[in-house]
Amino acid sequence: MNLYEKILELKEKINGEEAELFKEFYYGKFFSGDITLSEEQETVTLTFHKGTCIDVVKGIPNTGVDIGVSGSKDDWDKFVTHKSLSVATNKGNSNNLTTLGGAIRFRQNFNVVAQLIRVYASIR
Amino acid sequence: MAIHGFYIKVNGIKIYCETNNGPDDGNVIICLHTAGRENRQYHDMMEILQDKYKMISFDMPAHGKSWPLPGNKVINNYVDYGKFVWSVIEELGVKDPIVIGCSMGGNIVYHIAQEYPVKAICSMQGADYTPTINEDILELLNHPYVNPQHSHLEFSECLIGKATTQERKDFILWGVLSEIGITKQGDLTQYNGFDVRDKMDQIKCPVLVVHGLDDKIATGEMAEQTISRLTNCENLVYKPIPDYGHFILVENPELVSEYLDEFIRTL
Repeated sequence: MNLYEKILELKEKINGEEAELFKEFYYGKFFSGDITLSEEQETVTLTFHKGTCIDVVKGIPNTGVDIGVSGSKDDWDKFVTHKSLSVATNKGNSNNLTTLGGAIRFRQNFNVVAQLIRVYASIR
Repeated sequence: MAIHGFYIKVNGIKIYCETNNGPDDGNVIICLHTAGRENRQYHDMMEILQDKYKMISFDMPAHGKSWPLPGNKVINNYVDYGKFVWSVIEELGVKDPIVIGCSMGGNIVYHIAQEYPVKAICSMQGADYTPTINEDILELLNHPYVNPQHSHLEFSECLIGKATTQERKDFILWGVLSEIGITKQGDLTQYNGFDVRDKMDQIKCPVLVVHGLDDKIATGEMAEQTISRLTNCENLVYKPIPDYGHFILVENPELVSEYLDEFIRTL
C-alpha cells in the first residue's frame, strides 16, 4: 500500500471511529486547513473543514504547505514506537520528524497534528 | 486530611506553602514541584507519609498561589532558582532539610546539594544536564497567538507512564490547563540551560534517585549518566520504576513514598 492509499484509510478513521476524540479532546473541531504528511519521496495532503477531512490529494496543494510533518522511513519507524509528536520533535532525541509550515500556525494546531499522526501510526 | 496551607514572605514575595503537619522529629522534607506546576502535586505523598515525616511544599514565585517577582517577572535560570529555594528554607527556619523534587525540581536538588548544606536529596525524573526543549517551542510558550495550555497538552500527555490510572492522568493534564505561559517559559528555559555536570563530584550527602522509566524525554539513560557522575556521595540509592513516567510523584506516590521512607530510615 502506498502513502496515498494509507492516507485514504486514515481519512476514514479520523472521520469515523476516531472523530470524537480528534475533534473534542484534541481540539480538531477548530481546525480548518491542510495537513501535509511526507515519508521518503511520497507526499500526501489532507484538507480539513472544522475537524472533518474533506479531501485527500497527492503532493502539496497549489496553495502551498499549510502545516505538516515529514520524515524518512527510519524517522517514521521510530515514531511508531512511541506515537508522540512531542517526543518526535524533542531535540534531545534521535530520528526526529521535521515540522512543515509556519511555526505559529503549527504550534497553534500541535494537538491536531499530533493526534492525526498517532492514528496514522496505527495503520501505517 | 492533615494538609493545610499558609503564606510566608520571602525576599518581599508572598509564597504559598502547604504542610502535612507530620511529626517534629528532626527530619523535614522540602518538596519542589515540576515545571509550570504547583505544590498540589505532593498531596498524595504528604498524606501517605503524614504520620512519619513533616513535609513542606511550596509554590515557587509565579506558580500556583505564590506571587511573581516584581514587574510580573519569573525566574529563568537555575542559579537564581536555587537561591530562592534556599531563601524559602531559611525563612521556614528548617535546618538540615531533606530536599526532594521532580523533573525541573529533580534537577534543582542536585544544584542545591552542590551549593547548600542539605541532609539529603531525592531526585525524581531529574538529571544534571537537560538540553532537550526546542527554542521555537520555548519562544511560543508566551506568544499572543498561541495558547500555552492547549499547545502544550500533548507534551505532558506523552510523558505519562502507561500504568498510570485515568484519575491521575486527568490531574496531570489539569495541571497543563492551569499553567501560565510566561512561567512555563521561564521554567523550561531554565531546564534547557541546566548543566551542573562539572560539580556532581562535589555532592557528598546521601542521594536517592527515583526514576519512572516510561519517560521518553527525561530518560532512564539520562538518570544513569547523572548517577555515574555522583562519585563522592556517601550513600547513593537508585530506584528505577518501570511503566510509570515523568510525573512519578503523582503517577505512583505509593511506591515513591515507600522508597523515600526506606531511604530516610538509613540516614
